Amino acid sequence: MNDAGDRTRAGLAYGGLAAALFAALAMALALGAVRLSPAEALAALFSGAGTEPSTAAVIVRLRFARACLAAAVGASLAASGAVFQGLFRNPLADPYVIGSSGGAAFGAVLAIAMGTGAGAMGFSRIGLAAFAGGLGSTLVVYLVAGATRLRSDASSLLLAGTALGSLFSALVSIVLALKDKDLHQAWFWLLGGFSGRGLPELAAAAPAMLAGFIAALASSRSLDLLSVGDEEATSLGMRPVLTRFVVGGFAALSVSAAVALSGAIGFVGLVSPHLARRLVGPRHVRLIPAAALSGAILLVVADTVARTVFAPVEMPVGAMTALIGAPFFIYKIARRGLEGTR
Amino acid sequence: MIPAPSLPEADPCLAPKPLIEARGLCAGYGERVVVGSSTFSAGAGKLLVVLGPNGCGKTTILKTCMGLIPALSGVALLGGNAVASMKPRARARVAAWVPQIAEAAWSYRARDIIAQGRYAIRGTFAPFDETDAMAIDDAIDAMDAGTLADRRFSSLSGGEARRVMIARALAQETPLLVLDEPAAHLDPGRQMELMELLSSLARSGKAVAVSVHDVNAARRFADLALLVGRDGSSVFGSPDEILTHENLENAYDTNFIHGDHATYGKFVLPVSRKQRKAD
Amino acid sequence: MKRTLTLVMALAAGLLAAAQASAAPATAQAGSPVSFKDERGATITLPAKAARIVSLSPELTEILYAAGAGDRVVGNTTYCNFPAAALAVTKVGGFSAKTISIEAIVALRPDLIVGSLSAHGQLANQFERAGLRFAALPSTDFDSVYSTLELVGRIAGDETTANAVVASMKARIAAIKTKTASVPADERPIVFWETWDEPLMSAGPNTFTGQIIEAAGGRNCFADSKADWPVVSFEAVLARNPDYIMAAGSHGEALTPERLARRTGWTSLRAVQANRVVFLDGDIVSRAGPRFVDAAELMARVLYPELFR
Repeated sequence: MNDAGDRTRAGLAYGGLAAALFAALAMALALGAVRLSPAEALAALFSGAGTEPSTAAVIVRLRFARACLAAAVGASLAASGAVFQGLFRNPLADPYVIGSSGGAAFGAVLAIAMGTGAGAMGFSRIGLAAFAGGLGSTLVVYLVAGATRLRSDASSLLLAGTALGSLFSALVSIVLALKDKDLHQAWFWLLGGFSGRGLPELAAAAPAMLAGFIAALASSRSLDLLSVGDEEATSLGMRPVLTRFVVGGFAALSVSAAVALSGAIGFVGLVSPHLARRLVGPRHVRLIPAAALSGAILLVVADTVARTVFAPVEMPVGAMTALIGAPFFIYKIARRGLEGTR
Repeated sequence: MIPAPSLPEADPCLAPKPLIEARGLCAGYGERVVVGSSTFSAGAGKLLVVLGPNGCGKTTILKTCMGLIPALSGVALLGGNAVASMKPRARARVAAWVPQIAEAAWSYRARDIIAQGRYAIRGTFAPFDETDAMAIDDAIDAMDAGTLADRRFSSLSGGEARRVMIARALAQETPLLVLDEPAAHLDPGRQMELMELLSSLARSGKAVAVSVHDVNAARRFADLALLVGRDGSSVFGSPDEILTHENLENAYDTNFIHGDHATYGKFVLPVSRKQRKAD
Repeated sequence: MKRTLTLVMALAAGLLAAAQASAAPATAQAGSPVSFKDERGATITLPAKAARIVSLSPELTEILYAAGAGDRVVGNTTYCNFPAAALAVTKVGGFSAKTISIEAIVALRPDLIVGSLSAHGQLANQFERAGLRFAALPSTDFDSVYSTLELVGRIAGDETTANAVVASMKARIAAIKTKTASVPADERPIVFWETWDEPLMSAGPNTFTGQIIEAAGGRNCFADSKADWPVVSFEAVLARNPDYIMAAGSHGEALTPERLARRTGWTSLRAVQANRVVFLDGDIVSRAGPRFVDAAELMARVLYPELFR
């Protein structure tokens, strides 16, 4: 396929994804624990301000806020997932591969165990603790990896990330054993979800997520070069170690903000890049936006399902993404083989 | 090994500035010295071949000159500047590297791989323009890779992949090309084709440094030769000076028949391995 | 020689008798055996009323003290905080079975361990193997709390005291029921109990909190939930528009007016608009012990201020 055909194909793919996102958002507004007719929903969405909003209006605005949250977090995780897969040349890398989810979980569980309290900067206290934990653990991973003398800095980062992930897992278990009365709250927070979070929280997390996304796009060419290996990439004029540090750092920032918002939701960051690669090809300048769109769609749909399947009880969103993502992944492996496997 | 005579270009005023140069360069990994104290250089328009038995350090010395491996001692220079003090992008403006094996982690097309060569010139952010497109197309034509350009890089055969990588190096538009055993696993005809291509590139003004296995091809096409021995020692000079009976037999630990053909020129044919002298 | 032998034997006999005497229970009860069936249906027989008891749950600790067996409690959990005397007792673990230390219990040489079937039933085998007596005592609803109180009075505490406590509790609950009888079912105030905010979690009808809401004359906002601690969507809360939002005092900071104002859409709730946000002591509202009546009364007073003066 030549360049022009390529561009058409990509254009179609983007168009399709945008349409799918629009459809998902519309569904998210229409469906929920409370039955609303489409007419009611539409009218409520565009009802004027000032007058006392009807119940329907409040519900629709709530759903809108939630859909925005889900789309933002989904896009953020998917873009970061694509970045980490590129940085480590590993099709199984996900946004949490250098340890941010473990630290975020520890921060959140610690905050829950210490009881409710006021937050800051728009984040709830738990969110803030999760954000700090996520960033902190990424920092530790970098320090540990830098201190080792492995030849490949990619391997040392991955190993340090895995080790720290296990460490934080253990710490979380310890905190939950000591304060096991808070098990329910902690467990549900860890499973991930958007309950209790709204637009103010999104506004607080948005700068970090946006910064991460822009950095990801800006690093498209570097990620393309990294795909042939560190040595060749160096011979072509780039600096793999520095790139991994800077780009990975921005991606970790974005992931930490997303986790602070909604807990560590799995599969979105792993599966979306693969889906996007099928649609628009491996070049990162196209891959990253396509992955972001796919992630947004996936998470909005998962959240809608989580809210409606056993209404009024909400299922954890992380369980929904696994239910959707895992079969897709298995299907893909069985049928074609993963990108990157020979 | 018989020490080499002085370099052919004795007059510094006439000699072109060397693009790749080593002065007493010791190459190796960590504690292990692979090649000890070698000195050589090649300037524009010269084809330098690096010869020696397997494992003697041909790849190591070339990677050290490229700055991909730190030197143990001595100096490596690219375009007259010490490699150790050059940033990767500056090095990539002088020298283009063609490795022996290349794998892309994702399903890039050959054209995308060739386009990677433009990074050194454009950097991370600057968008590509017509000059880049032209350079890429020229490189594809030069390597006769038109039919390969839109195929998946991972689906290419070894020889096809190597053509693509050389095209990438050409797209990089550097004065120096460094290739690591590009003729490995190629059919004899294709080997000759490749050596002719490298020779013509040298004629057109580039400096080319290439490690080869085939002594005969080296002698036919090379302007300069670096022969690396099993013990890490090396000799450098013109092919006639360096590729003597004694040097070759010692380096390769092999008995050769030495011949001279009217059309082909001087050649060697391996007969048998030398008996190892008891130490 | 013969005299020495007699002396030694007399000494030995004396020591033996003394040892036997000290092994006899210190209580003044006549050593009549006590037998009962626990929640698993197992029959448990004690040689006399239990004298050294380990309690594995805060509610059973409160029940033990209320039934007059408080001075016999030799071990309890870190969550057993009422009455004050319970704080000083040796701790053997936390809330869930995994955190209980069998060793610590063995060291206390109890003659009876009491716990709940759902939480501690899995430990029964381990207790048996360690030669310890375990009884699963029910406390899942009001009736089971009454029956457990009476049982504990019989097997460990003072029967008269225990029965009196039960009678008083039943009377107080009945009083609430009488006073609220005139209010028709669909006019009873709807109470939304917020267990947690992130995620939004409420209490199902089978939890003790849910039962207290009903006993106080209110309607649980999520009385139709099948889960005990359901994560609910705010939409459902909005649709049901509760009259009161209630929570444990420890969760108070999440429900300040400022925080409520920041929650999208919550200002539409009539409970928020009328500032009917009420905090109750978390221990008495969720604990299936003698104090649940206090919680029911407190809640009834909030829900029906005119009826309860």
